[in-house]
Amino acid sequence: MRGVQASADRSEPPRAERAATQPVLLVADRVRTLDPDRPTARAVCCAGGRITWVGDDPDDCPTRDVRRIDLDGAELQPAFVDAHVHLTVTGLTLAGLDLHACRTVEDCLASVRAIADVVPGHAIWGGGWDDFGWPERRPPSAEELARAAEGRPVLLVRADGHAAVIDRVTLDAAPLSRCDGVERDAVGRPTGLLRREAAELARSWFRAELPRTQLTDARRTVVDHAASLGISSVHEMGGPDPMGDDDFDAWLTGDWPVEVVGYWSEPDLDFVAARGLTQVGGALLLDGTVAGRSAALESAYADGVDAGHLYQETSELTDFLARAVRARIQVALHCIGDRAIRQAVEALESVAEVTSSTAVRHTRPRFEHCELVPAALLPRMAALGVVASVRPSFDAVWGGPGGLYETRLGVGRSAGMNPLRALSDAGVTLAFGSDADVTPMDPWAAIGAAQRHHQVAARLDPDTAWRAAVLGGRHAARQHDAGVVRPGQRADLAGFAIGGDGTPACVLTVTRGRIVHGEQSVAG
Amino acid sequence: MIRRAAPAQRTLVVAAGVHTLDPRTAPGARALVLDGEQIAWVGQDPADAPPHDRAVDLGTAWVTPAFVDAHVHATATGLAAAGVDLGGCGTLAECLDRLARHAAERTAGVIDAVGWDDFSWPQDSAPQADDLARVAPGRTVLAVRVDAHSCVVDSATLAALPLDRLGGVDRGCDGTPTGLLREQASEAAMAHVRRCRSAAELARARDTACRLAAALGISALHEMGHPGLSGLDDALAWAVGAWPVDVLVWWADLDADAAIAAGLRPGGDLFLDGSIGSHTAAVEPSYLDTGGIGELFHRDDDVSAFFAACTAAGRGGGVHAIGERAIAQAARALAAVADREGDQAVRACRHRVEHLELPSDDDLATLGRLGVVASVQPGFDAAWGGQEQLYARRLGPARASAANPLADIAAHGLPLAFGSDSTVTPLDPWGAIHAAEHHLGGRGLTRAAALAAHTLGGRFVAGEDAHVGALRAGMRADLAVWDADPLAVDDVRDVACLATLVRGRAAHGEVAGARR
Repeated sequence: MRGVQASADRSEPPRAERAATQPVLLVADRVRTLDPDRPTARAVCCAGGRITWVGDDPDDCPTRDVRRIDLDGAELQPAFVDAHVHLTVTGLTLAGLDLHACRTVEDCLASVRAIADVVPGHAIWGGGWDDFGWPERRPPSAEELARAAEGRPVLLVRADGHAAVIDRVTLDAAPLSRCDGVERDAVGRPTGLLRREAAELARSWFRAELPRTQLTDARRTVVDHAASLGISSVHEMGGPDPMGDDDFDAWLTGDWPVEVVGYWSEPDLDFVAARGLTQVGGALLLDGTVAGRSAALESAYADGVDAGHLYQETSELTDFLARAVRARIQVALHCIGDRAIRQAVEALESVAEVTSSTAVRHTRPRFEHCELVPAALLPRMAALGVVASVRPSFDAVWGGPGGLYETRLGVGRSAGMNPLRALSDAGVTLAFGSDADVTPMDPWAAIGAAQRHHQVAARLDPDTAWRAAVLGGRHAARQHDAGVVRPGQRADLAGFAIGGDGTPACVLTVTRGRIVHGEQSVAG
Repeated sequence: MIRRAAPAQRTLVVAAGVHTLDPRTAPGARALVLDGEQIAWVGQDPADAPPHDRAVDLGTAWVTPAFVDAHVHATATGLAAAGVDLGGCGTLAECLDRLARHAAERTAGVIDAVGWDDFSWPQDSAPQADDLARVAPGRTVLAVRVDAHSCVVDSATLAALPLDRLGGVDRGCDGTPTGLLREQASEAAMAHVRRCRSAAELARARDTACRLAAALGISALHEMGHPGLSGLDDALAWAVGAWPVDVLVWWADLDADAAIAAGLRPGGDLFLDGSIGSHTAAVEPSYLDTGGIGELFHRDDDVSAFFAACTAAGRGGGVHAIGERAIAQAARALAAVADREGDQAVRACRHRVEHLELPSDDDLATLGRLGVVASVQPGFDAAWGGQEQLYARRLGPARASAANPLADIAAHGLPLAFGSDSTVTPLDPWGAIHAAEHHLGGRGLTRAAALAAHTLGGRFVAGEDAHVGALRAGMRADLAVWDADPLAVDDVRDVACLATLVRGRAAHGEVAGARR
């Protein structure tokens, strides 16, 4: 039934595409085109959702009746792509409580108290806390949260998205007793900290408690936020947990100011076929995270007893990948540890043997995160046409001396985390993403983090980093008609103020010819 | 696991520069490492290269991806190379003179003549069967018009054809056939002559075509097999043979499933109409010089069923559409499939339209939305465009300028794949790129865009772009070596091919260390 409904929705393009927009002539101080034949220009004409003309003198534009927009002091470029986001959760956090700046348990509780006072409503959803480095060396407890929120349900997601804390009332109400991942104190009573299965179940349960309007607001908030950053396309990593298929379908069928490319985490080809998608996966986990010591390593954690574990049987994974390749469906695999990345490479190579390496390459397999990459696998990944969907900001947050990676992996192995330069040099395409709400959506921050990688040998030059933020995601989504400022390409553009300190301010974002941020935005 | 039979030699190649045509990497590459069939590394500084067994310095030479000619009649190309080229003849007399000399030199077999173009000759002066009998007595002669939609044959061949049942037979005042045959009759004549050829002659022709292509930096040909022009045996010979360049074969049969079952790609030069030169392209408004509007060869339903079958099989189908009405028919047919199956299902197939000479903006918008690839021949504009050549005479100056509008096609989002339609225009990639740069109606492309259309475009439409095309680690080593920087020289036609690698193997010239 759902499939029927989804295909009926697809036959009618979203309002964004239907809207007959007047041709727009954008004139900037400079246009960075990525077109090798015309690396820079000054003016771009967009009509019918596409770029129709690029030139230096706006008077040369052959299109009549254009609306001219002058972007003085600004540089225009292809819009950014964020190739890995969890939109609704990010929206809930943006519209709710952002705890990234908290440095102590008390900071965290003060934020909860503040929002409980000022924002009326039902549940409090927060995210972004990271107790690594906090003096208390623990997150807030269930009791502390219950007191701070004065009885309102509270759920605060850890920065890495793989753990959460909830208040005592919710903790007692939620059906967690038989879940894996419930932290307990010395007497066996749950503390409020939930990992793995329990964290996912709590989020799903909590989400079901959220009023519909809170979700709608969250969705609107997050895509408007993306547009305000010069992003015109995001890759939504959906799945049954925590947001579920209703949320995923809302993203697929809605009319948003940015393009939403949907990845569904379950290995279910029928589910994606019913929605007309040619990609699957995303949060299809081959392993966990380094922070949670659940990323699968080839030798034990420096600060733990085991080496994490693989979540998938290799034979089952291979079977699934083979079916996907035969159906020409792209698969995105979450693999962080060296053992998980090796499993992914070997599974794909097995598939290449029974189909062909060309068939595998054509589906453009994606490795999400792809952090601890053994050097010997690099040429094999390039041969398979793998796209590394990476998060340069992870190194900024968790890399370097004394950082989480060094603590978990030791100095030697942590130096090999997120080897951006080696991946790029080997011919593995890089696509930048934030994994929001794990780290904030912020393309310029990702580009900066790639240039300032803690490991000098892993640093990218500015041009390569910028291409990975602009074009990498287009390649990863198998889009060939977007990402370059050239006639015929989709009119997905972003303008940024030149000069000034810090992150360039986005003055204009255009998605498929529609202005979604900046000058007379028609996003609403 | 991907394993290789034997460890391949890894060769570092250093050039003056490499145009990778890969937008994901910064410009400025000048070295690459070849590992068997594959490219193992591309970079700016040879010192950064991974371990290799040997190094080759190409000095001042430049490297680009190899060309693809996305529309050729390859056997005819090879035959024509052994035949006589009547292109450039200013009069019928000159044309017959050239034929006579060739017939005297080549004393056996079919006389193949191509390229005659009566457009600039005094009217009603196309060659006739009698003329051929006079200059080549007793010989089988097939003289194909430059557009390949008409031909003239000798009297004996003419007599062997079932002329009463064929359309397109030109007749004199008294009703007797002149020898000039168009469309259906022309195809019948070609089929008849084909049966007169020996297997060895055909094999030689195919080999010649591949060598000609490789010498021009072409590493892949899209053979447009056609029941009337070249026949199924020829298409299958190309499909199953091993050739020094890649040959991908389309088969112009309205029954897409039959083509797929035969291991061929569906459609290609599947005629929705004819040609402008032969007044058979389905135009709107009419031809200025005859008042006719050409003809649509198929019904809408049949064209739609063709694309529906291709789409259901997940295969890219192609049709030949030149006139406004034929292009509109292609757009209608594809839109009808998209209405049922969704735009994405159609886009995913990468269907193609051949020639696309007189498109309307509306049809380009539809084709662009559906991800259709424009398989175009920039050489057509150079040969017939502008204000003084065939298009202007047939269509008037405004439509002549707007014919083959490469810039408009690109602006509507259609990916471009360049080809020659050899023997209609010769295999000549740099000539095509020059023609695209200097479109006579001002609707050209930049040289870099044209280069991409002639190298990557053919890979894209064939669904091969994930493993061959741009020069990048992990991609197949199909590349060409040039004596200068093609993006920097004044006239790109001056660039000469030093070597062509296909799957890491030298199909032309040599790169010391490449596989032999």
